[in-house]
Amino acid sequence: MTDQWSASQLTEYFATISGSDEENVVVQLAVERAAEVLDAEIAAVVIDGTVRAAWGLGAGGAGGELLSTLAFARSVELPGVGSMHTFAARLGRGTPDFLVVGRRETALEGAERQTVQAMAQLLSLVLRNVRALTAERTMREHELRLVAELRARQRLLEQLLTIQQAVSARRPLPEVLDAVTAGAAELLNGSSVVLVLAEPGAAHELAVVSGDAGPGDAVLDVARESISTGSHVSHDVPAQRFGLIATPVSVGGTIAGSLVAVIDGGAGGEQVDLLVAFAQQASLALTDARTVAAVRQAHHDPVTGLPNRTLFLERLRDALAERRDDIVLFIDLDRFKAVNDSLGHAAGDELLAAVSRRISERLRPTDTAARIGGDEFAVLLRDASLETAVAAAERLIDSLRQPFRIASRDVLIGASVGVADRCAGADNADDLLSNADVAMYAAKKGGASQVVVFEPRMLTETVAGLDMLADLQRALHQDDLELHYQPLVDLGSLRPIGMEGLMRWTCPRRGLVAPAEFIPLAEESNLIVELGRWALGEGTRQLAQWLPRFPALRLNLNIAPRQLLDRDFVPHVADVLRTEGVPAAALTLELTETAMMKDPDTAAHQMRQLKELGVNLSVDDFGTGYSSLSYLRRFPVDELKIDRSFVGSMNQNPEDLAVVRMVIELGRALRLQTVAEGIEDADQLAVLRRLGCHLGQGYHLARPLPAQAATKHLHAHLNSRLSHTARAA
Amino acid sequence: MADLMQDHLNLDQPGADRVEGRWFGVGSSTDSDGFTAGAQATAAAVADRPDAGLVLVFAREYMDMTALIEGVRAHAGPATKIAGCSTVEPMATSGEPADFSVSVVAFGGDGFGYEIAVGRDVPGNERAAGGEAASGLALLDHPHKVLLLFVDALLDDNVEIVRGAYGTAGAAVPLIGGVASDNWQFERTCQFAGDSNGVEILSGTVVGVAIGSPAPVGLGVAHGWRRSGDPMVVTDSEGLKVFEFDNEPAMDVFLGRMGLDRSVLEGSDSFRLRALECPLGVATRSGDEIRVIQGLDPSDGSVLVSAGIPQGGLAWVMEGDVESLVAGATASCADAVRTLGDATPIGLLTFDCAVRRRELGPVGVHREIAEIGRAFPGIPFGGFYSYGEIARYRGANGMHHLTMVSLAFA
Repeated sequence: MTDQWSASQLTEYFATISGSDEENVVVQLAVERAAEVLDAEIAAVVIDGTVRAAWGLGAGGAGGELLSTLAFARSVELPGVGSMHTFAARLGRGTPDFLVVGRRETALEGAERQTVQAMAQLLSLVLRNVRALTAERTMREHELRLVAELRARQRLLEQLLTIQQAVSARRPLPEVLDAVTAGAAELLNGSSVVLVLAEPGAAHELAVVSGDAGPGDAVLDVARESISTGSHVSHDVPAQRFGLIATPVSVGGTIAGSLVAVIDGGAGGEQVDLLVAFAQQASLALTDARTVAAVRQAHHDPVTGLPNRTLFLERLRDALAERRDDIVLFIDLDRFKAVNDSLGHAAGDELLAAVSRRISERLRPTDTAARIGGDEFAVLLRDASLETAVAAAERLIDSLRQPFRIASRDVLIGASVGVADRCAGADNADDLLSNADVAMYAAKKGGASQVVVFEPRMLTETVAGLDMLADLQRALHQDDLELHYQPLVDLGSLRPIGMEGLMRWTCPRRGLVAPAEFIPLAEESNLIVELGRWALGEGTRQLAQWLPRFPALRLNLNIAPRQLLDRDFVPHVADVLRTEGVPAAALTLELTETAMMKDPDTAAHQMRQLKELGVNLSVDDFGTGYSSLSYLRRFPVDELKIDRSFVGSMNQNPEDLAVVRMVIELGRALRLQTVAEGIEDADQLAVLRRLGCHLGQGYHLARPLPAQAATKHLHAHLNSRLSHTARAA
Repeated sequence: MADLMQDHLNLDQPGADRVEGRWFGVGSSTDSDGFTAGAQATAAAVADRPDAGLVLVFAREYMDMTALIEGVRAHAGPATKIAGCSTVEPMATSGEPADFSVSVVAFGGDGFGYEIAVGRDVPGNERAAGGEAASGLALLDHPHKVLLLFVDALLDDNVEIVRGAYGTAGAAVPLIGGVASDNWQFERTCQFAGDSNGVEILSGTVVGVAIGSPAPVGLGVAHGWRRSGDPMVVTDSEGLKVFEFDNEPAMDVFLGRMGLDRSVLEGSDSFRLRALECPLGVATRSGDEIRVIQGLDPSDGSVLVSAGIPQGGLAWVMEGDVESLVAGATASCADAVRTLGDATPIGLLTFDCAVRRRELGPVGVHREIAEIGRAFPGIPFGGFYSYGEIARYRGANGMHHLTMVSLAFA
């Protein structure tokens, strides 16, 4: 009896000591629980000859050393406690480390000694895990530092390489020149590096074409000197604790400008050499671009004629330097990609030009609009308040939502706008533009055609999102994910015919994390593909266990848009089905309408391949997206899942009921199975049965269950059918 | 003042004479006025001895504690340490416990040493609070030491508090004490800590009284419950919840053993109190440990118990009657006296479970007190009925339920 008592507590002991990832806590919990389980007064863990944790020795811990040396004796005389029967078990074979337990009244019996052995083994396993984790953590930190240094060096090499490649690939000149100044700045430990060119036809007029001008006049003076002397010049400005180096830059053999570096503390010979090397790169690029005039033009976007990113940032820097209250709008067009993809790039360019006209028309002459890249625009509103900026942004959105006549069609797009001012902690142009970009991203997440003003917490949220992604990545490798299964019920017989696999994540740091929190985040990154692979593997493994007992059972799994578009997806599904020995017909993959419409051609291709495998395809959340008949004909689907939002309110809202009825009838007409999601009460169930919906799921029928409970559920509901059938027979 | 009160005094037996200068006295009062009750019980326990060092006070929860403590301080002596707690009913050597409003135990004479420490801000900090309550031990250098603990009933994790105290005390020091009680309301209990110059009336704390002595102390634990019916194997459990006995829903098995069905769970609170009287016994190495049934959960068919029972554990529904419960009390005291060895006992501290008191009823309690008196004639004893008992002299576990724990001094 007593043997059973201590042995039966091993599981709890294991659960307790594995609850921490700190070695000190683990060993302390181990000694406490070991003493309690064995009704012993004393327990200790000795590692490398030192007592790492002891229990029952009191605050002073007297006697610990005795335990570390005499543990393998059968008894120890401890001061103040008296004679103790001891038993020690090694933490793994061949190690000098051990767990020792001391009991005053009676020696440990055979089974109790076995329990101590088992505890020692479990402790060694947990410690090994904890150490591996700690080592991994330390290594990762070390590696991260190394990687950061390497990356910095690598970036420099890449920078040089990029400049060379960019020159030979005839990249836009501003891009090349920015790469020159940024690369030189990085190599010179963050010094400010500026490329100055003489205006065509007015050699004495200099203009900064790339880089942050810093102390403007001093830079231009030293540049002028190096241009006029035709050699490099260096000056220290001790009063302001910086040095200036300028080296000439030529276009086709003629000196046309200067590359200037502002060096903290003072300039040295090595730095001059480096700057000369970069100046040569700039000369190469400029010569290739043939004329300095091309540089001027290259500050504007050829498609829209608007200033480009470089010029915009320059104007923004000026605004900041003059301490003006300017505000930045970051505009991202909604649905531009669809236009570009469906009507072609020429139409896309035409649309961009039209957009830029509409933006410019609604700005004051003092404001600056720029095309930042792709379908992104920025506006610098001069001397504006946040209120007027938000109002201006809303007006811009309204104007961009009006139809555009492109390639003889009316094209509808929209825009999301992020707004940032200098008050929100941005003290340089790049940060300010980046803040507006972050706000635009928040606007986009909030739905189309929104204006959002930047708040510092948005940056925090971005970091928090990255942090959660890292935890999620870890969860994939640490078995913190679990599939739960929600029964799919035949609404005719009310018996389960299948299960939908639903992902659950219990993070050791955050506790249970709701799928609504982590799935959208994973969907923004490629992690969703890995999560999907994991779910497919886990779900089919479970299905393989169920099928011998419940041969008609099917499994539904959700597929994210990225997964569907992943070219390895279909072979992977085939592979998993083959490995687990599961017939393809037992698997149904659920896709959202958005997933199919994101890239309809690829989606249709992938879906046809899945159908060829024999897998069933279901449209999830039907009714919330495009819900058009044409795509139902275009995509080979077998099943429609009526979104829970309609089912939930159909008994209160006649319009929702009409949608539900319509989907069921549509299913009937197209010979597609219909499934109602989110059935929460008997009234809803009754209505759906009356309407002839085939299948249903929801809390009223059964909640999602862990695998073991799901098995019990199947046994309870499918076995009772057998007995029912038998009785009927 | 003392003369004026003499008429009302209910003087308990002052106990054995001083042993090597040490003495132990118990007093009680039936008065409902706080000051009077405190004064009477303390005067009776101290019995005019000039050198009281420690006074323990156990008072019914409805008393005016401020006045009561004033009464205690008035008679405790000039530099006496004072501790104790509220209770549903005090215990004392003689008289009708049902009538007591307060009991007082006094220690004095040469050789004893006392230190009081309080663990505060307990929720979320149980381990440290237990350790803090035991910190007085370090100030004593007597050859024998014991730690008394009085814990607020509304604190969630008593086991962790006792663990904290054990961590500081270590195996060399026995632990004993009880969870302060109220009148079954589970609303508020109080603890006392201080000395003749001032006493804090506390809530939500754990009060530790470290006592040092040149002579051994003896500790006894017994409950008097016996196994009834067949054993049940715990086939599914987690934490404090037992989901299955013998692969059946635990709640249904338990109700079945009591001859009841789920309908008793509807409505009143009476079932909860009834369940308290049908504890589970769990077979452990040191005998049957008692687990109080704290509730049944129809949503998952589980039984909530006062301490976990691991899967694979063997449990019985326990039963008791007046005979067996009274026998449990005397067995507890006998154990305590026996572990003193050859030393002569001068008094007993007794902490008995409030549920045992319910089960015993007034007649049974009368018998319990009389039987202890008969078994240990001339040895005064005092304490209180608690919501959980603390006793550790072997092993590392110290929390008990439905049990009587006692401590003998020599």
